[in-house]
Amino acid sequence: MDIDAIQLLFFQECEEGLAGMEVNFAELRDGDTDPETINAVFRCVHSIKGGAGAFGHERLQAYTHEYETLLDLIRNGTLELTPDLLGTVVSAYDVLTDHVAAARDSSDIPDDAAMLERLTLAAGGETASAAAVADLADTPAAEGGAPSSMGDDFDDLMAMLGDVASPDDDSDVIAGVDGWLLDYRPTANAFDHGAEPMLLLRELAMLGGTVIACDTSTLPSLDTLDAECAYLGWTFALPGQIDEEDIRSVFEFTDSCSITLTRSNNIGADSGTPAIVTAPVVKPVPAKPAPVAAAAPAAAPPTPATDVVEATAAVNAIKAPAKAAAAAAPAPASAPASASQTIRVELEKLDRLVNLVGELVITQAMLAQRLSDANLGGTNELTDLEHLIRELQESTMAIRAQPMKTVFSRVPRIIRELESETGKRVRLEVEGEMTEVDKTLVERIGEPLTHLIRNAVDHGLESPEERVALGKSAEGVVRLSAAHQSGRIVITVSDDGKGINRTRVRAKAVERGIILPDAILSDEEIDNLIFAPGFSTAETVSNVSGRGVGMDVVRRNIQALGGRIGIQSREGSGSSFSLSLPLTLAVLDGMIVTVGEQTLVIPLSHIVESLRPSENTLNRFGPDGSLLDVRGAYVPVLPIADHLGIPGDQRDPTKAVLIVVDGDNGQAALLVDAIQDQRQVVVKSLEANYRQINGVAGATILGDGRVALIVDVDAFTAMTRHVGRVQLAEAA
Amino acid sequence: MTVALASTLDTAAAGPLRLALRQELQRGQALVLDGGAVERIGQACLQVLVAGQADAVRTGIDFRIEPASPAFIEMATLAGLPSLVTA
Repeated sequence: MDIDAIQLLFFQECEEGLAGMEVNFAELRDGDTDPETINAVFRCVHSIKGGAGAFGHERLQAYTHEYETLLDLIRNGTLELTPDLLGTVVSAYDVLTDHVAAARDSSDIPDDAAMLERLTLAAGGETASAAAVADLADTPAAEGGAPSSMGDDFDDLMAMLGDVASPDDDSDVIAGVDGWLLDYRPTANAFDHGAEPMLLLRELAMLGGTVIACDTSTLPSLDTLDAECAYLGWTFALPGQIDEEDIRSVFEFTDSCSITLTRSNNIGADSGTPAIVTAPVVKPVPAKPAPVAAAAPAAAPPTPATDVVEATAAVNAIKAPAKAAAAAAPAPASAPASASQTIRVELEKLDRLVNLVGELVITQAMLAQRLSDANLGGTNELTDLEHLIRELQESTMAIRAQPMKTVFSRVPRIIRELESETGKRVRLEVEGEMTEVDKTLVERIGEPLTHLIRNAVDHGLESPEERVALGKSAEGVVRLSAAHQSGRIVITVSDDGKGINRTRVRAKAVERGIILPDAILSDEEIDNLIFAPGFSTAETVSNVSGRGVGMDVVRRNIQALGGRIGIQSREGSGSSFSLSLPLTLAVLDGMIVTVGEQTLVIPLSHIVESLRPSENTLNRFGPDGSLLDVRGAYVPVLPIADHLGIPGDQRDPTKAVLIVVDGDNGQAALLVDAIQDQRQVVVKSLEANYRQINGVAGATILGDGRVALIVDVDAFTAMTRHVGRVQLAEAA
Repeated sequence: MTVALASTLDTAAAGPLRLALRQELQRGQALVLDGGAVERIGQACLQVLVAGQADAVRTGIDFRIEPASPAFIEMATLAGLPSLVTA
């Protein structure tokens, strides 16, 4: 695995960790007092810091360092997690998210100066009680809680390394006192793929580690030295209060090294082992042309006095090992179990598997066709094979499935930003976040969902004052839910705000020329006007919404995913937007129909019914137009062949079959020659293999090897409206 | 003889640095490396310099890195090799 791939892995883990933190914050807000919750937040920030250091994202590393310092004070009880402090922690999270995104996308680093100052103030006791501050001064670092004195700026921090150790090191990194001894040796191939072991040394220094010795014993002369081979090794001393897990996490992104970590409460007393030094960390050896061997462990750097052991440090030396042992104990037991639970697979490999299974489905269909031609279609083995392949396909698709949590976890931040932009107060309620859906959909649903959330807060909810005046609670509620329904996923965004003001919507639509002033519209049709391009009811254009593009974009994005959007609204009580989406875009259940000499596929999810009409259910108008009377409702009849230019088809509806479909633009009766079959088909992109064709959503390969086009029902129903309007205009 | 070190001494620079150092040391003259412009140095180049220093000591050649940039000193210190830049 090269360094880029490892870094990609790091960012994936960042994303997962950040999503987990949002959940933790929600728990903390709800009054969760389990110490494990804040510990989980701390661990996540610490892991990001480790990765940032390993990959050279210095600003991210510096930021996480300060963030982690504050979290450490909270988790060890030095600071009480008041609502104000939680607010700081959550705000810092938002900046952290921006930092991670900036590091990942190589974009502009966020301005974190104000947040860093806030973190430093909070860590310094600004939000802590006087007692806590006093405790802070008295509490030695071995309690794991002393704030780092490291500055805001990473450069300053690094500059400090050569001269003065941070004060929290003083109490612990003293010869003869409890600490860690780490032998770190990059393997010979440690420079492969651009890796730089020195970055890990920097990370160890950030943890408070001090280099004791650099082992150059295997370094050859210049004549035989291989410049691409790593020869050096290091011995580091680290403060005893650092968790073993934290030290090991420095190396979690590399396997090109060997490390030996030992615990000792009297490292410096052993004459054979170099002492751990107090400040300064590493003093330059007096200037003389020293032999290289001077740097080897056998001839260690000068050992400072070892008798400066303060009473507090001695106490810490007793306390710390117990804590470290407790922290380290669960790790070996849980590691094998968690290792076997999940496995990370590159998406490319997974897509290849999905594609191959798709090919298998097509081949199976071809085989079935051949056997059927040879009058062997009814064999049990073929039926078994069909079931097995279907199961294999479903299992494969399930591997790509991801919980909606990935998307939902970003919503709290959006809500927080909206609260600060609009002055409204919002409580977010989330349900069904573990509902799984295909990864592609998870990735593409984020944008439309964000629009809906923004819309709910900006247009839906009233201001706190208005709400109180209306007898509602000052805090508005936005509900977000996801659930599986009839083989589709339904995502709902609802609010308890003012609902759609239909009078205003209608007036605005007339003003914008979207509808005629005398148009007779049902409530549902008025509600749907908000999806019209360019429609906006906002009095002023704000940063939040009101540009009149949001809802239009939402609808188009949802349609592009094969989904539909519906609105339910009650004036004064709120609105609810429901998105119905397929679980995957790779396969669909379709009705196979004949049109002329072509075979087409109509997605089953759009089909309401199919029928062969009698003459008295048809109302003909113009040369070719006709309307189908479906139990009192008139549906336009649309010959597919006309729109796709297919010759030789049946044009008389009474001799053809009408498939009544339900699209975003209403219902239509698609006229086809005959129905062949109903089966699952593998969707192949027409755009990727040919080009986009209006009215065609994609293609599939049939059992006989022929390509069949998949009808884009929404595009067809849209055409119906257009054709209808043109015909009406022509008639006028 | 004074030789200026490049500003970026990453792994890719280690091979050319080794060849250049070997060539200079073969002249048998005192060697001063100007590290004042070094902005970045990794393990690969650090170990080449340490090996060069050791070779120089073995053959009795005066070997110094002077001046050394703050970034260079910082990395040498971080690696436990402060004598490299103060020699």
